[in-house]
Amino acid sequence: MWDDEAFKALTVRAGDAWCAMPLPRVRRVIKSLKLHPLPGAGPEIAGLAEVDGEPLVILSLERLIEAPPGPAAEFPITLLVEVGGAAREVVGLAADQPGDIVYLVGSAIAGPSRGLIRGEARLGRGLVRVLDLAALGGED
Amino acid sequence: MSRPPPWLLLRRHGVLWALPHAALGELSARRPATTLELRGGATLEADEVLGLAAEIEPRPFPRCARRFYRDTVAGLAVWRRQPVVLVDPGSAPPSLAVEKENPVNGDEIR
Amino acid sequence: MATKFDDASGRLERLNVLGMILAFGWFLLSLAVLVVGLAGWAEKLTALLSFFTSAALLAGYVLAVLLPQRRVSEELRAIDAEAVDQRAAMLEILRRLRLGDLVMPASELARLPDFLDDGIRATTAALTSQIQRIQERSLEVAVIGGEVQSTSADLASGFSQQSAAVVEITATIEELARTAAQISQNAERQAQLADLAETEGDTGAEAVKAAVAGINGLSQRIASIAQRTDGLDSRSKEIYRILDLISEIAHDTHILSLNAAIEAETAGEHGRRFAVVAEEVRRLAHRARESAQSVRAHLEEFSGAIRSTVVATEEGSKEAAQVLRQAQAAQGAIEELRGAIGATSVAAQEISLATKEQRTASDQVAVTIKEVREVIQRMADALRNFSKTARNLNELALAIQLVSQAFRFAAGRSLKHVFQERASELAVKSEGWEGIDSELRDLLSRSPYVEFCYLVDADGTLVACTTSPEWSHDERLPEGVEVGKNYSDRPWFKTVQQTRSPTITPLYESLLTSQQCFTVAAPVLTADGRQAGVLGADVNLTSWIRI
Repeated sequence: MWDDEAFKALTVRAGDAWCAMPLPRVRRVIKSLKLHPLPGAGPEIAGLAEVDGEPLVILSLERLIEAPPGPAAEFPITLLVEVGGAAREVVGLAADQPGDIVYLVGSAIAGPSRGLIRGEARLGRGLVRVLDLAALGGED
Repeated sequence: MSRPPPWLLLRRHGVLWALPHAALGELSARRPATTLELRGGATLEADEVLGLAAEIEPRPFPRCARRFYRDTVAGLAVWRRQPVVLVDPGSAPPSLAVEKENPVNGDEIR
Repeated sequence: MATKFDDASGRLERLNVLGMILAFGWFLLSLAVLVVGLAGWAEKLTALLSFFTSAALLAGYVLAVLLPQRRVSEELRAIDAEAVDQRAAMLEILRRLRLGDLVMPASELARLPDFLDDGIRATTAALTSQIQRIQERSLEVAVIGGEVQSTSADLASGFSQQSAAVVEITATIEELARTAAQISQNAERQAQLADLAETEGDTGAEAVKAAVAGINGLSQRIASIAQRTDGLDSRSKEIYRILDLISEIAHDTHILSLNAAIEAETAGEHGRRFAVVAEEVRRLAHRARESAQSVRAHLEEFSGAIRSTVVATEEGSKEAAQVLRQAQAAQGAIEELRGAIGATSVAAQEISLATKEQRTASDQVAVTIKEVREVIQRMADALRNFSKTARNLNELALAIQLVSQAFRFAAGRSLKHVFQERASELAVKSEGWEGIDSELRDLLSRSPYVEFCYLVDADGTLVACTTSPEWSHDERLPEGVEVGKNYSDRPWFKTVQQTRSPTITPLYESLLTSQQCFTVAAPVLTADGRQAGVLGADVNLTSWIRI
């Protein structure tokens, strides 16, 4: 995916930053969910939710990419995404605003890769942080 | 003769928790919290005991989220469209531990 | 009562008699010796008799006459010396009395015989008592005179003001009389005009009624505009709600299109056409959201305009209501005016008549007030004279007070005595005058009526001086005064030098305060009676009298 081949990505806003994630990793986009707190959890875990009868851990995308706070979300969303490498898991990512489906080329992604962020790509007149959801896999 | 429902549901700090019923030793009602003594010797505290539930389907806690949540839990589930955290009786999370009351004057001397 | 002199004289007379007896005895003895000698009796016997008899008579004369006579003579010399001393003491006492000094030194009195001592003590005590009474009475008179003078001056001033006020009243009343005449004329003209105004008032009332009706209509139209504006405002709120709904639907559509694209992606080749549709839906949602935002922006402007209109109509409504109230008030006023104009015509005629009568009455009042003014003026003049007399009385009493101060007696009221005592205290420190400044300051603090005190030496040269902070805030000295300057030509110095007694000067104007004051000066005498200097103090008259 990260070579010269173009791939589809979904853009979303988290805090003050726009991100792009590979579309095949996105299972669904849903409106904001009712979140239940998880006592003892770090600030990266936004809470627990129920989707289609299944329990789901919702992570805060803004905290995961350490984005500065942005304008208040008018219609916040939750992305159901697959994370991890071979053994994939489904988690929720809380974001502030949905964007568009765009085409990205792996070679156009610049900048150092650190954790979840693969690098940055120019899109129109701005930059988007390209996410590597495989890197958000389990600790094992 | 039917088997007893396997999970005891309780609410603590606004979250639903489920405890294997077999692990429960004694339950004593106290105000404002209820104390649950486990067979393993641990003592937990609940704001409200909701009852027993059989229709709990355990799901594993996502590995990718473990780095953000260090307490040991048996998994997650859903009960009546609400997420439930499944308690591991051998290592109950600190959130369920009995909270110490404020010491009265002179306690620190005794 | 037999005096020493009488006693000595008696004894001398007795000695003279005894001497005469002894001389007569000597004669008889000589006669006996002559008889014995002539008879021729024994010569030895005669010689012996003559010798022993002569010796006995000589011894008797010496012992019985000469020695007592000598003692008596010594006593007579002592008596004479005592008499001379008493005369000198008496002269000193008389000198002191002449200077008004009623405080006699005990040493002087002791030199006098007891009866004179007693007599002089009784005399000075009686004089002191009388002078103190004179001082007290003169002080009372001075104080009362001052108060009377002040009060009568105030009264005179008050009467003068009243007189001036009466002049003004007279002028006012005369003006009133003139005005009454004018009012009378005006009232007649007013009566004529009132008749005319009554006719014109009818026309005015009709015009105002029409204006009130017009304003009422305007007010109703403004209210109608306000109502419609309110309606627009609520409509715009509804549009906002609809826009929110459109935005939400657009958002939902957008999410739906994204999910459709995701599904199409999962479907691979089969989903490609579906992905195109999803793309179109997404664009549609985007346009819908943009349109909603555009409408919202226009609506913001529209709402602003509506709010301005609401405010404007509210203000217009308020102004219209105010104008309506004013018009209604004007209408009421015109109605009242019309009624009043009718009454005015009648009243004006009555006023004309009344003012004519008033003019006559005013003339009479003016005459009466002129008489009152003359009486007041006479009273003011009399009070001014009275005030002058009271001031004279005050000055006279002060003069008596100063005359009485010519006497020195042992009391705090006697300035001569007080300052002689102070001078005696200073005399102890007359050697080199060390610490004299602090002594003078101490004197000032004990005598608050003293403006300025000073000490000159026996030659009249100023040794030290100090001013009271009560009278001179910056403690400046009176003009022309400086330490080291000679003041031996001053009357107070000369008098004290001559009399060696305290003295008081007549009143003069103080160089320090420009108020009336006088000087008290007293000699500073050393223990051996030498005059070391003169202590002077300038006493503020008003302050001293008050104290």
